[in-house]
Amino acid sequence: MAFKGTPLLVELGTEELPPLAVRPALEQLRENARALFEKARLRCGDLHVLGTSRRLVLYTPWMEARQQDLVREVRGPAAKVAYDPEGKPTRAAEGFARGQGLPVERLARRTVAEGEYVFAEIREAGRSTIEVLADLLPELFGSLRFPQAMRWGSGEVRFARPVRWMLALLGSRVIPARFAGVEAGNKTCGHRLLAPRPCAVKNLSDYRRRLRTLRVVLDPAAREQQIRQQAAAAAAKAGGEAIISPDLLEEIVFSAEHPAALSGKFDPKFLDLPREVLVTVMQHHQKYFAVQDARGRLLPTFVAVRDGGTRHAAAVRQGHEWVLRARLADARFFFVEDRKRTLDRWAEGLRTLVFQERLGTMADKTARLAHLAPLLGASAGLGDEDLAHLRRAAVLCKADLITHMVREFPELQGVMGREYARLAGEPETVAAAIEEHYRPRGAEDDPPRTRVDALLALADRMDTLVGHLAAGMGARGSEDPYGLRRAAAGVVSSILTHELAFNLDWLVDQALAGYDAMPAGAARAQFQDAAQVAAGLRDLVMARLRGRLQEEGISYDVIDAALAPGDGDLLTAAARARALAGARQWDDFPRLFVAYDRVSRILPRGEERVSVEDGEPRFLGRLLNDPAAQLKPAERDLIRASCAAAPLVEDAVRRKDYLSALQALRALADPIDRYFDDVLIMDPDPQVRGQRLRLMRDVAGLFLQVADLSKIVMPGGPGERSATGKLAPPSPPPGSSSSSSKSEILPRSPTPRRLWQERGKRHS
Amino acid sequence: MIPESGVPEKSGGFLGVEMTFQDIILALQRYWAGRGCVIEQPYDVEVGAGTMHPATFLRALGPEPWRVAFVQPSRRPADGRYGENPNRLFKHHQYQVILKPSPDDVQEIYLRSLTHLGLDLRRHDIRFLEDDWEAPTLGAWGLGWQVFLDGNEITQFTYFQQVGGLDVRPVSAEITYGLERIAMYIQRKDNVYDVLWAPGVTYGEVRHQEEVEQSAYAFEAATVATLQMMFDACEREAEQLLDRDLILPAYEYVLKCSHLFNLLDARGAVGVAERTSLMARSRALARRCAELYVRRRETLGFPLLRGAAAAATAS
Repeated sequence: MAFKGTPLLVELGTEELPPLAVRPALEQLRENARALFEKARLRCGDLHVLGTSRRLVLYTPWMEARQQDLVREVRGPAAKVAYDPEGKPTRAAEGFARGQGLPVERLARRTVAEGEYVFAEIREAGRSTIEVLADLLPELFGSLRFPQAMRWGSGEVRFARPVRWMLALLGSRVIPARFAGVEAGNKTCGHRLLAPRPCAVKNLSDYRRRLRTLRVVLDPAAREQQIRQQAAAAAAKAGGEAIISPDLLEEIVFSAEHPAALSGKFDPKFLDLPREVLVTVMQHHQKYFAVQDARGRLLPTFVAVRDGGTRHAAAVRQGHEWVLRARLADARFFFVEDRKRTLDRWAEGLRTLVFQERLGTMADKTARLAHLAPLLGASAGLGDEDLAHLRRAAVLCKADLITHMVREFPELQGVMGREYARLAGEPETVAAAIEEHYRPRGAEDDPPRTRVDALLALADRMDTLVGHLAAGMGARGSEDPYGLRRAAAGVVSSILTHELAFNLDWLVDQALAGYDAMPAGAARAQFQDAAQVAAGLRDLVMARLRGRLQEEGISYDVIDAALAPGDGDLLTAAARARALAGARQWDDFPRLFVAYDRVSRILPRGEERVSVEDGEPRFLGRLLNDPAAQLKPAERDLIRASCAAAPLVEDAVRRKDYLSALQALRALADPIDRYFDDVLIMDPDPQVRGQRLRLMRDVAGLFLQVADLSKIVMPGGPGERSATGKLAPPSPPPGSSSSSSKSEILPRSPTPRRLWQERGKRHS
Repeated sequence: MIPESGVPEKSGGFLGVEMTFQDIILALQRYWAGRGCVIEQPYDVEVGAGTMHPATFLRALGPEPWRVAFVQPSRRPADGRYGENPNRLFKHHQYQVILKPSPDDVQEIYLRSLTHLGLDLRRHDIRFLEDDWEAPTLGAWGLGWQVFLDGNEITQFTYFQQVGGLDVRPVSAEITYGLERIAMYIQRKDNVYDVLWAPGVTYGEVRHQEEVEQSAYAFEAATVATLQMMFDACEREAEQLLDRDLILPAYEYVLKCSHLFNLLDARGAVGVAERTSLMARSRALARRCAELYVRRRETLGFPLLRGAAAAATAS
């Protein structure tokens, strides 16, 4: 880009910002600056942002010295009013020109749609950029949003941490801006310890040069590379490789201005602690990278990243080693103490840990799980051995919650249970299930690994969901204080991953039964009834199922259509949605859609469901053999086709092979079209009309065994309005989930004209 | 005036001069007295942290300026380890500083206090790592950092935002030094009980027996029913004292509630939901104390504001 102005440099100096807030803040800084500059008609080169935990920096290689002039056009009176027949301006024109601050001869005449008018072109000269920036910079910094903001001193401004200085230069001139009580100047500050004194800066290039001598690596990418290289080198020296977790790396990149990795050692005797304990202590608590050898075994080495360069590294290493030793000694103390009791003993202690005030203690929960989990296991057809393991895992799965280690490191729940179970000689299946039943621990986590794990996870989540819902403690709007949405996600994850074909209502009944044993007088008496609980659970679980299917790339309308039949079985619902999503790709799917759409439209609202309940497609066949029926050829064809399709659809549905069912329905598209073209359904004779409507109901009923295709949104494409002038409802923005009730109230999508035309062409 | 940098570290041993536990306290007292702080005394009711001292909790409220520093023995029953763990203590010592309003150079002032303890900061790794602080039983929260010295958390640094459920204006900076941590680090002792408290006297000799007995009390001997009864009684007492506008006596009972809660917790007698409920009860009391305190100070005409105004005109 050509040089058209002077460089702009703005650095906001702060106290240490939360590391993970810096990158998002820099993104906002660039985007908001772009928008503000554009709005303010400031032309500049590319905007760059760089930063550390102590400074947010915005710069551009050039910015014009003045705002662009603002030119706007104001329409005045009509030309025939503004000028007399000789073409002289009238008083109307003079008045308008005066009002706009222009001599009357500067008015222009132009013809627009409404006729010929006079126009005034107003040109506002741009202000000097430096003046505009003085106003804009406070607005710019004030526009940054942080997860948490604070006040400090006697000020009222909120920012992530206190603002301490501002360097703002256009070329070499200071922009006289003020933000959060800080006056902009030409000074920056170097590294907190290595170059603490304020230092004057001449301009952008001087700044970048100077920061290096002030021991600040300004570019996050450069810091990251530096840390990676140094960590790798430090670990290599110990004969291993650093385990670099991206989250920790990001944290370090944005907490050190002058990073330097150094390795230290710890006593190998600590290696008998479980790997997760060592990694947790090093990574989460000490912010160190753990180091492992080529075979993935931890080495008694760690890599710390220090802020402050390489000098006096020996003293710093010694300090870190000393600290890690103390932390590991702590962990070891817990590990030894915890193993003085068996897991069964710890489980007894769960009596003192309340699960939920109104739902009893963790011991109560454990008792419920010990009953519920094997019940689910038996229903899912687990073998005897697995069933026994599941029962045992249910008894032990919460026991680690009151161990010293988990109280100290809550993120190790499940992991310690697994470890202690293993050490006590429990079967591997049992030990693994104790850990796995917490999965998925978050949106990114894997589902439980085995069926035993998944059944325990399912029992745990169902117990939590049903208990809270029964006690009237649900999730509302954005609030989910009891973590029920996450529990619902666990239910969906276990069921879909391990194909557990449970009916939701049945699950609710089984889980609720566990609460029957609660002591008399407890909140049990005030529980809501099973139907309400089931409804609440269905809402939560279905919302998650929709989300999950959308994550698989299935569009919300296909999901709506597939979930409309409303089985209480997640597997079936998911299978319908996936099949329909597949069918949606067929070239001739629009024809199937149109066919069903015509059928469902002719039926009064709600009528299309009747025949599903009747379950009587035989009616069709009877009609065929009834000479009194007086069938038209198209009518006869449709009945034949339906009779042929019905057993295929039903059989496929029974096998949960919904794609085959849709394939069978495909054969109905043509007969339906011809039927509508040749047969008048709304015949004046009520008996004929009734018979034809009945046929439509039966046909609709066949479709509805798979999905309600009328919920599919067929895109009209730009400019392709339907006859009614309405466009199909637009897709909701990604991430928003559409509930079934919501799509009920959307207008039914009108059939786009294009589809009709295609059909017409094919027939000709 | 305090010199800008303290005792230089010697090249031979770790820090050359070995500061005892009490040397550290004395150095901090002198340093902060030199920064205009009132040197208060530890509060004589059991507390879990210096934040609960009325000189912090109540003084952080309202518009009056305030600078204070003191040692606060702090009880964390759940951290008791029978005197066997080298790092965990039933009772540890915090050095608590409140600067209200928080000065612009508060971080630098703090770092100089470390220099005053004999640390050459360029020989160390000093990090201010994000820490959101919340004391649910006090209805208080703030943002700030844990300060790490070579990976060792030695200080908590907080800008109070709310105290007793009230927004604070101006904002106080709270600096809380973990004295044991610092002493162990400076003396390079792996075990807190080996720390030299005074020349020739170890921390263990001063405190070990208490740790053993208090741990046994907290984990084994405390009667849950009694503690629960006491919690209820202290709550009622706090309420009736608040009804009579006796704010400081009421506040002491709030502190007792908080300590009893911690004892119950250590005994493993508090579950997730009960925790929420007990905390809500404590918080409600703390909030009432805070509101009444601000009102009382207002009635008194915010005396320290007058002092500050007088000081401003005098200078």
